[in-house]
Amino acid sequence: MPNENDYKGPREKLAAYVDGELEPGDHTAVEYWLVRDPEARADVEAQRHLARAWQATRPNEPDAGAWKAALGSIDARLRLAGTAYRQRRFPLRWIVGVAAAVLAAIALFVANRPTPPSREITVEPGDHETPFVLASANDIEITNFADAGSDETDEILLVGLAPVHEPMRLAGEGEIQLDEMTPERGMNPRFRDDPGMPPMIVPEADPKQP
Amino acid sequence: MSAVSEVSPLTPSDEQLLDRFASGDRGALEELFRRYRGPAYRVAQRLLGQEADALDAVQEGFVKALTHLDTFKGRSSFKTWLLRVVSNAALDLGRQRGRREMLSLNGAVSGDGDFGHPSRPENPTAGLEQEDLRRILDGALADLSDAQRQTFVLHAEAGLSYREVADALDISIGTVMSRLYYARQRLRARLSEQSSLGVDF
Repeated sequence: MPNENDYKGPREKLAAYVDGELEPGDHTAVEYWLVRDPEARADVEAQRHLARAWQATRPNEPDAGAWKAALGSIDARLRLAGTAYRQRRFPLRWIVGVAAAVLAAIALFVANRPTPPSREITVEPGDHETPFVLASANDIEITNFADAGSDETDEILLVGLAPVHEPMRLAGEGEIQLDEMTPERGMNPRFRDDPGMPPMIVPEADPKQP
Repeated sequence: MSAVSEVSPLTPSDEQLLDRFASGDRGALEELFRRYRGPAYRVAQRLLGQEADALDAVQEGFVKALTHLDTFKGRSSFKTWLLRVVSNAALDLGRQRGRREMLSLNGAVSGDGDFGHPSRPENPTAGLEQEDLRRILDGALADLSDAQRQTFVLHAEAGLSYREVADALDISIGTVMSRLYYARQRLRARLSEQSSLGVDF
């Protein structure tokens, strides 16, 4: 322990003294130091002044709505991450590509039917509630949503968090249009229109990939 | 403070909440978020200087911390570890978006987009407007190195002890002490330059 009569420790100890982080022995030594050294006293007082200024400018926290939105975003990302980890055997982009192709194939099939009665594609809630990742928010671009906000339609666009506990209408006849098929690494989508079969988009191995 | 709020047996520990979260209990996530969102936000806000970016960093930090629970060895508390992850996320975000550029924009719009004005428990700077003082402090913080800024904010804003900061950043207590002292010296020097505003640090 330093001699209380000549102790003049490193000035870092003054900050620790202000913060109450010194061991009892060091604390006492610094107090003796302060009695003898006006410069050290001024240093300590300036640090306390800075601490008060810091406290006075403490940022206010967001409101309840912002917190709720943040928690919702965290929850959604954790669900996606958790699902992605369980599906790790296949690259997520490959899964998304196949899923998009399947959706497009369904749409083509529905669109090419000779005016069948309207049929809705629904998702029934299963026994487990772990969502299967079809596509992330970045993989879907909504370019048009007909009658959105109109009082004359009961169609709604669901934007929210899984699980959805009621049948969900994904798309109806003529509501999806295939603009392009983008090859993914290791997979080339190919359009197949065999007689007697619904039109389909199937993955085909990329010959350039090993 | 009442004894009940401190030691209530009904209040689950962080470890219990993490176990519940790992088994799929989303209520545990909500409780962990409610418990630590405040200090996490304040740390991110101090490091970034903008509220919206701070919320982004908080979200990023929570997601990273909870998706990498396997790397949390329990050497420190969950709070300490979470704040480390949040502060790293904030620093990353700051580097990506250019903190100085954001601060100059902040100055131009004079605090637009704030959630509110900070409380003023005590006014140590007569003659200096609160927003001015905060902007000066933000600017002074931006002048510090990432390591000094992170150390200082974790201690001064999140209230982590020297030991906790050392654990969070995997450095010695002596290094914590040194960084804090020199960070304060530089902050004081910057604030003293504003003597025209009536402040003497």
